[in-house]
Amino acid sequence: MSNEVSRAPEALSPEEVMRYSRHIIMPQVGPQGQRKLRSASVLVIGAGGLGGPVALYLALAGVGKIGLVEFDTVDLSNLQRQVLHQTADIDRPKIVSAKETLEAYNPHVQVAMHHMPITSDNAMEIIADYDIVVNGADNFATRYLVNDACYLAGKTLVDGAILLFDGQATVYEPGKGCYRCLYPDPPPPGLVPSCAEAGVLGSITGIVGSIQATEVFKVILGQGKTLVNRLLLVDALTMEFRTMKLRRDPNCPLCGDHPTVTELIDYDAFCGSPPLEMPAATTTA
Amino acid sequence: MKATRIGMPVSIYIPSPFRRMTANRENVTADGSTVGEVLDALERVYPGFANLVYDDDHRVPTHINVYLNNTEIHDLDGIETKVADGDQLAIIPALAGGSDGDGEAA
Repeated sequence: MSNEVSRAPEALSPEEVMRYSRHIIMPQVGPQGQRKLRSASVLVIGAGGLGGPVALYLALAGVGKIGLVEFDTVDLSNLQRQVLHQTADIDRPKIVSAKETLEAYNPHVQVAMHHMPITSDNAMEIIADYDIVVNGADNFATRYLVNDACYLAGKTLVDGAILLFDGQATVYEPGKGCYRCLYPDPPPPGLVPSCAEAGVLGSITGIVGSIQATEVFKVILGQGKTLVNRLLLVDALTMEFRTMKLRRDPNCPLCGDHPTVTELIDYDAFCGSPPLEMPAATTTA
Repeated sequence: MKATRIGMPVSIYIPSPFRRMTANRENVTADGSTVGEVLDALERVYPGFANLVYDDDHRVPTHINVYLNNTEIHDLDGIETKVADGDQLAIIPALAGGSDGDGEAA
């Protein structure tokens, strides 16, 4: 199944033609491709290390609607890598500073704010409004939740993860493998450290986030060969890139031949992690 | 007593989250005729390594993938998969980072 955006909206304005001229001049994009980008809607989970560069390049490229799911506030320790936020944004909601930054870069794009954690109760409703989902979550519970919701909703998921000097990226198209096919179960709590615990090279977020944005563009434009059925491994210390085969597992509980996961579950229980504290939820465009 | 080689030398790629166990070496070599023998040989050279790649039942847990020449060993014969001279293994854990470690994004 392909989520390639096929709508053909009205012509580009002269200002848009000039703004996007370096894309439009490429035969793989052209005016029609640029209109596809403008018609596309992409949901980015997290406005932090990965979500930042992803959303930034989506906005610069004129992706018409960018949704952000984020409930955190900007912390001084974020600013080593999170490009959407600046020193003056400390203690402000990340989603607000992210929206301001993206709109300052490109006022043509619509930035929809989902100021809440994504949960089993709201995931299907949030995801339904978008063509493609990009994962920049920092915990396993959210990763399995987003994976399951995207498969059940029939959405393409562009996945990425980082730690220390390493990154991983892939694309899940429903029916062609999913995160559960790659890693059937989460690690026991505390076994795999988070970036806060182990550290992360700031620029690896830019490398992996840019790769995720590139995959989104390829899906929207219907160009090239995406990372479907391949797991890309990035090792910044050696600056080597490897790709591993990733196949749909017939025994996968979600997308296998005899699925047992047919609706969203309690992912904190599944991952053995404590539930996130829930702030007041708001959704605005 | 002279050491006896029990299999083919295999190169193993170690990603940075596991590199503390291999003296920060990204590529190590171990002998064995199967994936399991190679992993056991690694434990002899780098004591404690087995704690990373095996669970309490001496199985590779499902949050760690072991690739033989880019194919995950569960798609082959698991740790019984035969290895040959020049084969390459990679031991790749699931990563969760994307946002901050305390919320939504690493």
